[in-house]
Amino acid sequence: MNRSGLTWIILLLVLTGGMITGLLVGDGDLSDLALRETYLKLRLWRLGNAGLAGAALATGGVLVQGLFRNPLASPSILGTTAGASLGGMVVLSLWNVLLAGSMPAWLPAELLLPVGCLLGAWLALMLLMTVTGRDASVITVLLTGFILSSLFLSVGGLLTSFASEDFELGRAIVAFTLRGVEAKGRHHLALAVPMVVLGTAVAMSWARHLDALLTGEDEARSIGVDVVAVRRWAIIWTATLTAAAVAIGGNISFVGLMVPHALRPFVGVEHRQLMPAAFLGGAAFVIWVDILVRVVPTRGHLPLGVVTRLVGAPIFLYLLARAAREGRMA
Amino acid sequence: MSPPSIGQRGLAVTGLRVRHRHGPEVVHGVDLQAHPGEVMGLVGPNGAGKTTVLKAMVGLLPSAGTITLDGQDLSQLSARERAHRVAYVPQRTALTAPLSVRSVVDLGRFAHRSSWSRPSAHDRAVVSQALEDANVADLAERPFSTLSGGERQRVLLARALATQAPVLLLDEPTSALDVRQVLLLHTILRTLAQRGSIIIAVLHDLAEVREHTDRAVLLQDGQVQYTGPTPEVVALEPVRAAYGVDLIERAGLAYRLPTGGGVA
Amino acid sequence: MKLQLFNGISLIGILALATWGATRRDAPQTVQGTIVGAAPSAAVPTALTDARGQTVPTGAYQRIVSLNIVSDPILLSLVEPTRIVAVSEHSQEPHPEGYRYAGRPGVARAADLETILSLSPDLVVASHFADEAFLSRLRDAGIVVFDLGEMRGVGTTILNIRSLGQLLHQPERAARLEADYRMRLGALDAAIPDDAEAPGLYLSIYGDSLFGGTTGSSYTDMLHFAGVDDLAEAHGYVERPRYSPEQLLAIDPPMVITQTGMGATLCAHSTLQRLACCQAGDRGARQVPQRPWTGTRAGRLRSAGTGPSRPVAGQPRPGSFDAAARDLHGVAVKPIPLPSSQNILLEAHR
Repeated sequence: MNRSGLTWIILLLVLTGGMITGLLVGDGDLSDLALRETYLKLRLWRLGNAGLAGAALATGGVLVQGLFRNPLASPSILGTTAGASLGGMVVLSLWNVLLAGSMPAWLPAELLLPVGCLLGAWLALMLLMTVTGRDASVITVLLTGFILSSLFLSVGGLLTSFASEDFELGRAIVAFTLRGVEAKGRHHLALAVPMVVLGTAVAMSWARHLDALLTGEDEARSIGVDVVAVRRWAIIWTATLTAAAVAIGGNISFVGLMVPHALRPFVGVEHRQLMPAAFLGGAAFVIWVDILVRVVPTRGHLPLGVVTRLVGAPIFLYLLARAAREGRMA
Repeated sequence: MSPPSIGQRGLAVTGLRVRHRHGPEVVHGVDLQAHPGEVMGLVGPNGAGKTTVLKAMVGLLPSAGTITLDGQDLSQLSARERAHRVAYVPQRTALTAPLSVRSVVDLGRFAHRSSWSRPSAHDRAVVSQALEDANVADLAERPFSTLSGGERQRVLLARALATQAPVLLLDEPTSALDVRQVLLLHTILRTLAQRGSIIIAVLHDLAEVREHTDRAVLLQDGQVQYTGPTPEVVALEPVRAAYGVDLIERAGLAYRLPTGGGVA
Repeated sequence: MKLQLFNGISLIGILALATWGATRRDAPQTVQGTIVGAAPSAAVPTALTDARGQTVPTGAYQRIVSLNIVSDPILLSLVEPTRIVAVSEHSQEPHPEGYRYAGRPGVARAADLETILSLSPDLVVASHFADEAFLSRLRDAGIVVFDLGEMRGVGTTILNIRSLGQLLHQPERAARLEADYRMRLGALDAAIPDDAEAPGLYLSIYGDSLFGGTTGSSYTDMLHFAGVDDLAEAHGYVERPRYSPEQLLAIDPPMVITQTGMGATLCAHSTLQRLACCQAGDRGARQVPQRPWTGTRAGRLRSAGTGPSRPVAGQPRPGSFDAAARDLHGVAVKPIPLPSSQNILLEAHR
C-alpha cells in the first residue's frame, strides 16, 4: 500500500466516522422512539450541509491555489466570499420589508438568506470578470479580487454599523456572519448538492490544465493549454463553490487554505488526485468541527466558522513545523 | 489526431513584428526559413530579440506577420492544435511544485488526449521514450522541485520530446549544462533532425553554434542581419558587426563523447 | 472550445437543478390532531397571521415553549402554568418572581432544536431573534410556530398580550392582563407629580462608545414611567443611537440614567466632564436598582436642581384604558402609544 492509497482509505474512514458520529451526537435522546426519526433527519441535514460546505471550500481552495500557483491562496481571494456575505447582510437588512407579505410564494422563507448570498457572490463574480477583462494577468485578477473584497467588507461594515442602532437587526447580522450549519434543512441541501457535487465534478475537467499551469502560463500555453479558458472557468467554479458554501454555512474560514495544504504531501500536487481528496478532506474536517461545536458545553452560540479556524490554525502550524523539520516546504 | 506530414517547405516566418504590450516594437520584420532535417542556431548580442522571436514562433507573444508550417498558418490554430506542431523548451521553468518528473514529462502529452482520459499505453510509451532520450529516465520518480538546474533543463527537453511535435524550439537549452550534457543534448537534437524534425535553438555560445548547427540566423536590434550556413554567419565580419569583437579562428579546447555513444 | 461549451452547459444545468430543488415545495404541512380545549367563540378568529407572514391556527395549545423573556410572563398569565413546558433561559435567572418560572427547563434560543423537540411542544412562541431556518425545522417537525415579531417596549408588549390572547383562545384573560399592566404603569406615572418630572436621557458607555436608547425601544418607556422627559426623543433620536461626544455635549442632559459604574466612566472622559450632569458631581445621585437579580445596578446621576418639566403630551382618550387609569388614580396619565407599523398583523381568519 503506497502513501497515497493509505491516505484515501484514511480520508474515507475519517469521513464515514464523522457521518456516523454526527448522527449519534446531539441534545436529543435517540432512544425516544417518537422523536428518533425527527432527530436523525435534523442531524442528517446538518451533517450534509456541513460536509458540502467543507467540500466546496476545500475544492475551491485547490482551484484558486492552482490558478494563482500559490498554495497560500484562499477561495476568499476572488472577492466572492465577501460578496456573498454582503448579499446576506443586505437581505437581512431588508428582511422586514421582504417578509411583510411581499415574499414570493415559490421561495421558502429560509432560503431568502442563501439566495441573497448567491446573488451577492454572482454579482461579485460579474464585477471581477468585467473589470479584469478577457485576458488580464493573474496579478490583475488577484488585485481586483482583493479590492472587491475590501469594498464589499466595508459596505458590510457600514451595514453592520447602521444596524447596530437597531438592536434586533444588529444581533441578526452578527449572528449571520458567525452562523454555522445547525438547523439547515433539505432546502439548503437541495440548493447546495448540485452546485457542490456536480460543480466539483465539472471543475475536474480542468484538472490537467491546472497541472500544466503549475509550470507557468507560457509553458502551459506551449503545450496546448488555453490559459484564458482555464482562468475563466477556475474562477467561475471557485465562485460557484464558495457561494454555495457561504449560502449554507456562513463564513467558514481556513478550510480552503488548510485542507489542500494538509493533503498535498500525501496525495501529491496533481489536481486529478488533489481535488477529490480535498473534497473528502474538507467535508470530513467541517463535519468533525461541527460535532465539536455540538459537544462542547457553552452557554452561547459556538460559531462554526470561528471554530474551524481555532481548530485549523494549530493543525496548520503543526503541519508547517513538521514540513520545515523534514526540509520539505510543500 | 496524427502529426501532420512534414512537407518540403518547412517552417517559414515572414515579416514577423512583435510589439511589447503598451511598449515599443522590438522585432521589426524578421524573415526566416527552417527545413526538416536541419538544426538552426538563433544568435545575436544581448537584447537582439532572440527570445522574443522564439516566443512569437511558439505563439506566446502577439505578433504581426505570418508563421507557417508546411504552408499552414499557425496563428489560425488553437493552442492545442499548435502544440501538436510546435514544442518549446524554455530557458527556465516557473515550476516549483513537487510534481514528479514523469508527470512533468507527461504534460507534453497534454494536447494528445482529452481532459478526462487517463494516459494511454501509447502515451506512456512515448513518455518513457522521451525520458530515455533526454537521459532522465533514472530521475522519473523524483519530485521536479528537488532537481538541479541541469537536470531540470533535460526534463524540460524530455517534455518537449513527448509532444512529438515536428518543430522544436529551444531557448538557451545548454545554459545550465556541463560539457558532457551539452554534447548529449546536441546528439539528441541531431538525431531528431535526422528523423525529420525542424530544430531552432537560441544559443549564446558562438563556438557551440559553429560546432553543432547547420544554419544560423544572426539577429541584431530585432532584425535579421545575416542568415545562411553556420560557417558563413558565425564568421569574422558578421560577428564584428553584431558584437563588436573580432573572431579569432584557432584551436582551443574541444570535447567529444567517448566512442560507443557514451549515453549513460 | 468543446470543453468550454461543456462547462457552460453544465453551469446552467447546475443552477437550474439547484433552483428547482430548493424551491420545490413539500405538501403543505397540516398540524396533526385537533387542539383540545375551548371551542373558538365568535370573538376569536380561527387563525392569525404572525410577524413572518405565516398563518397560524388559534387553539388551546397544551404544550407551549416560550423563546423570549416578554412572552414568558404573558403566557404564564394567560394559561394554566402546567401548559408552559419551557421558558426562555433569561427567565431562569434569580428573580423576585422566579417562582413562577420554576420547574421547567429554560431554552436559550431557538437553536436548541433538539432540546425543544424533546419537550414535544405543540406551540413555540418566538420573536424576531429566531433565525428562519430554526423555525422552519420546528415547522418541519409539525410544531406550530408563532412569531411575535420585534419587541420595542410597552406598546409592542400590549400587542403581544392581545395576539397571544387570541392565539390561545383567552381574549378575556388577555384583556384583564392588559388592563392590569396599564393600571400598574398608570400608577407609576401617577405617583410622580408632573412638576417633579425632569429631563434626562439613557446612556451607556463602553470604552469611549456612547450608546443611547430612546423612541422605538423600551428605554424610552422606562424613562417615561419613571418621570423622566426623554431628551433624546426630544432631540429627534430614535431606537438605539450611538452618540458622538459632540452630540452629547449639544444635548447636555442635566440627568443621565446609566448603569452602575458608568457614571464615573462618563465623567472621567476628558471632554464629557463638562456635562451638566457631571458638574453636579455625586451630590444627589441615587442608586436605582434596575435589575437587582443580575447584579447589574443602574445608577442615577442627577444634577443639583431639577430642570424644567415638560407638560404631559396628549390627552387620554375617553373610554380607553388610559382613561380608566386616570379615573382610578385621579390624575392624568400618559397615553401609551401603540406602534403604528405593528409587526403583528392581527389578521383574523374566521
